[in-house]
Amino acid sequence: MPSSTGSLVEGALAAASLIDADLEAGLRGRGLNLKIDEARRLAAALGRDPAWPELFLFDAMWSEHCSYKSSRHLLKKYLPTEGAHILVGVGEDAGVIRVPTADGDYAVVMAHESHNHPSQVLAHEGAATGVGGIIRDVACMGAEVIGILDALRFGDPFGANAARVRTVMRGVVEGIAHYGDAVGVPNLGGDAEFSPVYDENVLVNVVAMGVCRAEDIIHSRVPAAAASEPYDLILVGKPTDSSGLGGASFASVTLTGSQESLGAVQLPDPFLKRVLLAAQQDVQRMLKESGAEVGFKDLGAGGIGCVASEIAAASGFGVEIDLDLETKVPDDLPAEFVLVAETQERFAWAVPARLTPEVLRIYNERFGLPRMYPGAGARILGRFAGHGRFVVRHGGRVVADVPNELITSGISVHHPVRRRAAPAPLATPAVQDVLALLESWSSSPAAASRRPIYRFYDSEVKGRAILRPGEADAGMFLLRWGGPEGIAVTVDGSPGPLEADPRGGAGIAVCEVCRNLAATGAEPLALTDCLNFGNPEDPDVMGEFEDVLEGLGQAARAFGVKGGGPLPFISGNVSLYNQRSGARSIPPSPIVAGVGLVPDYGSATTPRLKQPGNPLMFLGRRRGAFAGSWAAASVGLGGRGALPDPAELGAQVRREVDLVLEGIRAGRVHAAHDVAEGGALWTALEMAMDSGDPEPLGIAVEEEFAPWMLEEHCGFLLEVSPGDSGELQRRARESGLECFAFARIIPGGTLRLRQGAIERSVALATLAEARSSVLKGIVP
Amino acid sequence: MISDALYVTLRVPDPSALTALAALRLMGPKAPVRLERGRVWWVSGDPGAFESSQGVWFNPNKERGLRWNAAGGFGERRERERWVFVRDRSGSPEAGALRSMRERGLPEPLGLLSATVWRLQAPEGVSPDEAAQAASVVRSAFQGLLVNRHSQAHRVGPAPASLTELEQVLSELKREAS
Amino acid sequence: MSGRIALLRFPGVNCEAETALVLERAGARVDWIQFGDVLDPDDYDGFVLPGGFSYEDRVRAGAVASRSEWMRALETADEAGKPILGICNGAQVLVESGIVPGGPARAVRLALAANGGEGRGGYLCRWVHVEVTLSACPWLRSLDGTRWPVPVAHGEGRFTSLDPEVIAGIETGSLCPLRYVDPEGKLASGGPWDPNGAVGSAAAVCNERGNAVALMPHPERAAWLRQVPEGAPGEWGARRRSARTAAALEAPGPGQALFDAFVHAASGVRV
Repeated sequence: MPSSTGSLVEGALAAASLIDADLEAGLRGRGLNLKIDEARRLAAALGRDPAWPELFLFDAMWSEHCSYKSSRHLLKKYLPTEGAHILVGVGEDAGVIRVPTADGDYAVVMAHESHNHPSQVLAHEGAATGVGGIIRDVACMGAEVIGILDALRFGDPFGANAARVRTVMRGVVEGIAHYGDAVGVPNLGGDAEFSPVYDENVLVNVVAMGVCRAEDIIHSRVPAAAASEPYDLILVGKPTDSSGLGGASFASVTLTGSQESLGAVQLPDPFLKRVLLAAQQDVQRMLKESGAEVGFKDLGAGGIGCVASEIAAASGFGVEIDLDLETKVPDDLPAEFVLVAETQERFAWAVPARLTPEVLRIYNERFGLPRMYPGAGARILGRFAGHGRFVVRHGGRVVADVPNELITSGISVHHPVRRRAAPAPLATPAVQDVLALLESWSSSPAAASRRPIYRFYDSEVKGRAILRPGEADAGMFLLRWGGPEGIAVTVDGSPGPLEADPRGGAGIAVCEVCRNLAATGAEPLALTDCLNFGNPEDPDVMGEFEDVLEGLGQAARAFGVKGGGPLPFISGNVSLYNQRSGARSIPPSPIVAGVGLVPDYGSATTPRLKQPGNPLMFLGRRRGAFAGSWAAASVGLGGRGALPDPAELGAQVRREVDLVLEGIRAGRVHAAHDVAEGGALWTALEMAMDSGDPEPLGIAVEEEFAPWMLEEHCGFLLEVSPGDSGELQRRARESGLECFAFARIIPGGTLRLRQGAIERSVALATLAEARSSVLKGIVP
Repeated sequence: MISDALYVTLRVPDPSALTALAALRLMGPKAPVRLERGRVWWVSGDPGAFESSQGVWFNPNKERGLRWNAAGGFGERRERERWVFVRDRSGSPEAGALRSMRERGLPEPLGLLSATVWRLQAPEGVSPDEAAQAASVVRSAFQGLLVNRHSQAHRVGPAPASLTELEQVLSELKREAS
Repeated sequence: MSGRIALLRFPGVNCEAETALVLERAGARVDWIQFGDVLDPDDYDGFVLPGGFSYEDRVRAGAVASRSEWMRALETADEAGKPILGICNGAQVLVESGIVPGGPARAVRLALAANGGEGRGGYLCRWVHVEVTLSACPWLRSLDGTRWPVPVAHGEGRFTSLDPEVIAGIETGSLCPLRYVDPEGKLASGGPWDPNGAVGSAAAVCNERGNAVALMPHPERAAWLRQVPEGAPGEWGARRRSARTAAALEAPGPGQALFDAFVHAASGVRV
């Protein structure tokens, strides 16, 4: 190998010998966030002073964003990740599960990321590139990307920072719509929550789903065959430019007021992405026919440096890249920038050199990439090597030469952790006038219709839609054309419970995902998570982090999967440092996503009520746990309070879900909705509000109003035929669950309810109208 | 009446301008040699409008705003250049800014006008007016691009020489569009 | 014999796959014409411009794609009276190129402007209802009077024109084969079922001869019963709710008939 470490010292930083202050100044002077001890550690590992390209590379790769240095050991400790049905688990760009069908095994691919910091600085571009990035994560597994979901946490659009919050909201919604609509990937759902704690730190989490035949999955690594024949590293997409410089490090620092970062901003191009995805189908077909093994990975944080090192290191190879072969804008972009710039819309292939010309032809000629964007195209960037080193040439010189393992094995930081005692139970909220309470909720952002947001998202493109945003508790799409399988997907992470009791709230997030999937008729198969937290250097934040992980893991294990084993987390992301400088960290804000299977989508179920006279059955278990609920907040009982133990709740929800699925598949459950925010009463209202054709339907609550009707996350409401309710109750008793008729479906769009001795009623259309106007005029 | 103006362009490559220029080049020899897309804002009655309401007019993280100055307009004058002002016949390009100002509790300016601007530079040997005409109004599949007069009003001319002239162009445009 | 259909794949379109499936189910043989390939109009009996975002709607939706070389081939096909269907972005291309509504020298006489109407600006994705009305379009005649649900998904879908002749043609019928209506069949104009404020509540506009149709809704997303939302009002919603197996939901949805009619017409050209 021609590399020689001796030529590397030029322009390097004397990381081994400088005093702390000078080293610090040296690093910060170049815009790096690498910590002093990390720079020294790098110098020690290399046995010399690192060159600037090397420092930039490690700055990115050892950042929190890329290395999970503060969280990896904890994720491993708490989260179940194993399962017989997992094709690709945590560690690659996306998780993959196997779904057997009459037409062979299919693969369902799922990835989950955050794009919080970029969206705060430049909302439109930040959210759009978040969508773009998650689509790449799924596409690079070889799958067709068939949907996205977005979980959004906005500030209070009516609060002290309303103007700024609204600007960010509009930008985020426009960005998601702009990218998703143009790239042609339908929106399958998501959620939006509003709280002043996010006023200065919006959360934008995105999930992408993909589908392909199981045998078509491509791994993000050089195949073993590269030991016996030459493999090229081919870069595809935009030329490297100076946008998105330092993005990985950027996501790992606290935002500091007015001087927001500039270079870190990333520029979305869904048009170019669409052409790339179309070309990818042809390239994959050609490669499959050739019989060659290949590797494929997307470029995100850490840019070329990250993709080249990781795709090689994943199978123990090294790589030699030549930055002179890369198209750069401007031409003289320094090597260290070319190495780590996070220019969007790029992928990298590892293919046998004999097939390289055909790959280049498809992208550059057949799909005319160079005509779609100046400088775009497919080009050779380097070649994989057996020496296990990461070698970079630029201007004819070696500018980086490090053991590949050192880059990708990352580092680990164990921050101090302070865990708080479990909170005490909260008192039962006393509600004087329940109708007034329902009316006040109906005009609050929490209960607002999200239609003013998702009307901007194309939920129909690709023609696979079965259940769309707003139609049911989860989105659902067709697994394969002509087949009966539906794939359901949903996200959850209720802020109230998480703030009240992080461990219990995390358990609820997992259980809600499972209930949401089951309410549509889907058996939960796998989860992903994105852990949005504050500053990990704050022991309280790390305490909450562990609480949440523990809760997620306990609930997922207790819920399990059919055939045994825990409900696994197959992919995920950690986003730390969500705070403004000097301000408090955001409360723990994990988002859990889940995917489930409906064997025959004809049984897909919605909350929409069907038939007057049918009972609306409660199924679940009431515990009088009101912490973090709307009811508690409405009567001033905010703050911490105990929630059900995640393991207990997970086991309970498993029994509920089995009964619900049994009923749905037997055609005995006509409508289903999980009892979530606002309790059984609000849940029943939601079911009734959009029901009836042509005449609206309503509900009459059977019992006199009692506070339990506002208890959240305690079960399901199910519409069944009168003759089927007895059997459901019997089966519930066997499962140790409560089951009784909560309400009766009535003609006419009213809610009828007794409080005290008084019979009261409210027109559902009035509540629905209030709900639908809250966000109007605020989002774009 | 005190008035002021601002011209906003992207600080990064503008895909719309790049694509439009490529399309025009395929359409014939009168294609401009340079094409830039921007947005122009004109306000009256509030001399401090652009300072007091930063963030309303453009996002400095991706755009730059050039203030009008009496000596040189929006700065850099280019040879053989024409400005094509475009305004949709529906909606209001000013509405978003006015909403942002209201949300921020800022006083609304007495007058506010805006339009999209395509700045195009004619090739040697083609008169700027001819080049602008060839590039602007769509007549058939192979003539014109930047303006569909059925949904957009437009004006073509040299770079505005004064604020009064700018105001005049923008208010004519608004009148025609509504 | 089966019609041979060219599906034009401008860069940035994103509905080609499902559109091809629906056309094939209608009996067509479909060729995807890749951007950059030569399009010979004599090779095909019908032409479909699918939806999406050709060139990301830069300048205006459809504006850049409508300057492509393929337009010469489409003009030839148009002169031969072959059926041409532009869906959503494809409709925008047909309008921006002057193929719809046609006329002297194929002057551009129409625009698809930004959606208008109270609270209705910007991109809108939702299900609406359309009614097929008698127009110059020969191949939609078999569907005359039918009313069905179909989704729209566009930001620039408002047919508008400065040309009084074109306005009259749309309002009185000969140029307008599909209109937005409410579930009871009343013209949607300005009401809650009007997605964009188009003149005459036009969901589609055809050329004077009627062979070329610029259609804003997406019938390929309503071509399977499965795709109809459970809550859709009217007969199609009821049908959707009563089908409780995937096999039953594989049945054609309301949009399939439009493709059947198109392919039927294309097949007839050659006979």
